[in-house]
Amino acid sequence: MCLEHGLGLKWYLQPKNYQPSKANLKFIEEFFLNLEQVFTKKGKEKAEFLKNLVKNHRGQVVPLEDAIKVIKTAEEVYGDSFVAAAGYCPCRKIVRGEWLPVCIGWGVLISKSTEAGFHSQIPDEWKRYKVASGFIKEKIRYPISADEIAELMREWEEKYNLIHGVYTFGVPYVGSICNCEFPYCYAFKDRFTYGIKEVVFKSEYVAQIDPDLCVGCGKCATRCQFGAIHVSRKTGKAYIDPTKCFGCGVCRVACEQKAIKLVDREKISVAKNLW
Amino acid sequence: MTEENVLVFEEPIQIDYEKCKEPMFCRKCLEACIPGVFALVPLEDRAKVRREPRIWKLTVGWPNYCNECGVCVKVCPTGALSLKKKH
Repeated sequence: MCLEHGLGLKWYLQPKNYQPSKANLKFIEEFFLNLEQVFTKKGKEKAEFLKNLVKNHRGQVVPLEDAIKVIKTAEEVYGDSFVAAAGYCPCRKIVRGEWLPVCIGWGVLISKSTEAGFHSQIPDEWKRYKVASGFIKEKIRYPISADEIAELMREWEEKYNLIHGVYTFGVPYVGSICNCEFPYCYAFKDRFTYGIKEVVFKSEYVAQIDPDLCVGCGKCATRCQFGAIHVSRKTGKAYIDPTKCFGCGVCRVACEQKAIKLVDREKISVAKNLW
Repeated sequence: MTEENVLVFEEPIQIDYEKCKEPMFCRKCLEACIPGVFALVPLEDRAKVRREPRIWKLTVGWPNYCNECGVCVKVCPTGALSLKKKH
């Protein structure tokens, strides 16, 4: 729970944190202008860079239901001028050479990134590049409504096991939702490599298994990207390590028994201070 | 984790840039590598061109994720990749 920006509500659900006046426009412009150069940094230089970056650009994992609330709040705050777009994930582009429109931005983020030459559509000269099959249909995903985004995120979570994360552009301005997967996501790689948790915080929840319902099929373990789930041979039940759990909730999708639910991180004593 | 050892990684893979010319169009190693060790680096500055960069270079972006399985060496059509250690 963020004390400064989230009293009473989670910080990413506070409408005041969506006001365009909260955004750091200069940072957004520089961020998109140097987007690829950012990824070229390594070692000490990268660590210094990250420490500077997290002053403006922080993230937090959110489960699907909160991600949907985020996009609806953004639509409400921006009102008639709400424009959202699914932009190509820069991490996937660089690590996999794939073009996946899974990073959703809205409002000032769209106008500023377009100025920086960050396209949300594939230009014609890129037709030579392979476009990941299944993700992109002929339909242009720019602009899209909040309901369409909610539907897409649900589809991505089920089919492709993507985790949702909410990111700030100038703390606390809520500017985008990324849908990504470890180990292709730079945010998670940076967090684990350089130990800077501000890059992407764990979510406000922890997954919990109901041992009475669990049959130990292990399907949830195949979904977990953080190695938090283990099916014990001794008990025949899945065990979720609350200290490793990021609270993304994608394991729930796989559970046919509906044995997994998310509980507030604050209520689990071993996990409550682990962000 | 101390400040020092976090920041230095030995790069396990060697890239011959004479052979690897168009990584963005080939991408065989990027697709084969499960932990996502490689990273493409643009040689154009977006701040100057104001569009997506078109010239890219292959680098070992995340050497700390490499388990030296050698799959990238096998899939590379130009033979530009090699493991530094012989297994």
